[in-house]
Amino acid sequence: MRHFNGVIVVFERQMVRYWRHKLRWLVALVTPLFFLLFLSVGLKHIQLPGIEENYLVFSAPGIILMTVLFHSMFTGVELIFERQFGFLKETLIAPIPRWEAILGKVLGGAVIGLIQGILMTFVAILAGMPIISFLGVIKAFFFLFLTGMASTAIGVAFAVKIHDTQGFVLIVNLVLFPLFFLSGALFPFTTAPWWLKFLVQLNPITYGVEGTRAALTGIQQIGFVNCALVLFFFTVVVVWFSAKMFETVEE
Amino acid sequence: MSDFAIVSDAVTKRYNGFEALKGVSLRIPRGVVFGLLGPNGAGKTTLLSIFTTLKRANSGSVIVEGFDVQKEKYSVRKLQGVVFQDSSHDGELTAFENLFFHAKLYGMPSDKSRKKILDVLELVGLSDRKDDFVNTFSGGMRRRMEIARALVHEPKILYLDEPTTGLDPQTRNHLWEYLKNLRGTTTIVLTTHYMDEAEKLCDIIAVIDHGSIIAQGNSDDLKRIVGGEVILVRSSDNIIPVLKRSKFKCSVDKHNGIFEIRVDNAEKSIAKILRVLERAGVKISGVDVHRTTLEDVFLHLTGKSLREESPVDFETKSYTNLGRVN
Ligand SMILES: Nc1ncnc2c1ncn2[C@@H]1O[C@H](COP(=O)(O)OP(=O)(O)OP(=O)(O)O)[C@@H](O)[C@H]1O
Ligand SMILES: [Mg+2]
Repeated sequence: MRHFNGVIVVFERQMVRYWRHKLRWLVALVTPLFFLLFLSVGLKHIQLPGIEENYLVFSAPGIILMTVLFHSMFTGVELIFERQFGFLKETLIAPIPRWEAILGKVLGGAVIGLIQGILMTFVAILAGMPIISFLGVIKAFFFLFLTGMASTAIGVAFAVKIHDTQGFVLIVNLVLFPLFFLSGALFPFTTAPWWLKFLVQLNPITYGVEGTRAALTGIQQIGFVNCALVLFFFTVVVVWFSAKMFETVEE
Repeated sequence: MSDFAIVSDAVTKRYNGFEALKGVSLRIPRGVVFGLLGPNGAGKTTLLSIFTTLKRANSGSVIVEGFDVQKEKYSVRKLQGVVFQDSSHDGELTAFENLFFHAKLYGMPSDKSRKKILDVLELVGLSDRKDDFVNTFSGGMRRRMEIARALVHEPKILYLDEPTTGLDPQTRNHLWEYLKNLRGTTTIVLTTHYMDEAEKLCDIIAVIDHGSIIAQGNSDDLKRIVGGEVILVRSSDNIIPVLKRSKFKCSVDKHNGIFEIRVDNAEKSIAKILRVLERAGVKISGVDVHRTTLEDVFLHLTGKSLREESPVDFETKSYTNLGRVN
């Protein structure tokens, strides 16, 4: 148990901070709400090729996942603040391994992302996205959580290298938008041109979107187990990578 | 285990080619208050960050309580408490939370840490502000909070990088008292620009400049480097033969009608000298004493002063007026 001490402390601190800023986080939901209410609802009656369900049902899971992806990755910015305000030193010389601190941060960022995702799921259901089963919802949350972990880890890795917030926001947006638009969240990739199809299948986030969509609505373009495996593997790799990056931090 | 809490051997540190530490070797006995005195940019903070495992030395070794700071980081970290020169707290947490998370990081059980946190906050006078966000604290209060934090887990070695900068005199004295009480059980390494702090608090003082230790010892040892203190006597009589006859161990010079009597320790000699002079019937119209301060030592060693301004404190004044005799 002693070994996870650092993980727990870092995680707990982040949760305290999240709760303190809950209003700020609620406001952050406005952007994905725009997508959900104006794009998905607006295009609700568009008929997609090869998909029986309407566009709201098709796109809502991807937008929920996008919320997690964006919000988790931006928690990485906290590392930059911690460096600027000097608090990072407190973590760096604490008698805990660096990977514990990173794991704590990644879990914290993932939980924050997940909470945001759950809130979005409620809104989507209210807006008219039917869910196939309670178990499906649980499975979807599992995908959201993994995506949150991976996304936070990427954000943290950038924050290790980029020391100013403007730079961080710039770079992270540069990464997030392709990840989102090439994830098949907004269109069925099976009927897309070959190059787009290729890029979408290369994007690990696609497997998160697909898994979430399958779990929530039953629409399936890639096998569910494959989605889970790819996303899980991807998450492990990026978390490991960001822990390695954090090892190199001196101050 | 040796009697030394910290043994450093030829520690060097370079920042992009600039040599901030040029082979620092120190032996810090267990349980003492050790002061690092040096001007801005001397390398004090750099040395502490190597001792505390925050930075890696380019060469040399540091052993803290038997543990190598590079190979046995966690063991070293567990037994130290650190107050950094710059702030290192989370302003969006309360003082209590800052300390509570710290205690947890150091593996303290909650019930024990709660009590201890209240104690150390009491010590730095922040009990009534414990549930306020640190963002709402003044600079000095934040500093006090960080000092309290470094004490929570009862470290065996306490590092304080300019701990009293920005503290009001009352809090400084309070802190000094506390640190003195820790002497013997805790090894304290502090850096300071303040002479009075080094004098009153430190058992051993090392003077560092340009990344090298240039002198070391207790404050009396260091003062001897300058070569004694001066008693100034204003008199129209010639006191030189009088003192020669008395065989008192001193040397005398006359400048602008004032006799400068150079002795090892002015405080101890002055009464005796005055008695000798008076017995000889010398008419004294004024007496002044120039006690050697660490400032003088520093000036002597490096040719520059430690600090432009010192805090107002009677101890730091170079001339102590003992009043007029006669
Ligand atoms: N991160 C860094 N990168 C480059 N140079 C540095 C860095 N940190 C310190 N230095 C340089 O190393 C030297 C020693 O700095 P250090 O902070 O150890 O001095 P100090 O004795 O603590 O000074 P002060 O009394 O101002 O706190 C200085 O010349 C400084 O410019
Ligand atoms: Mg310094």
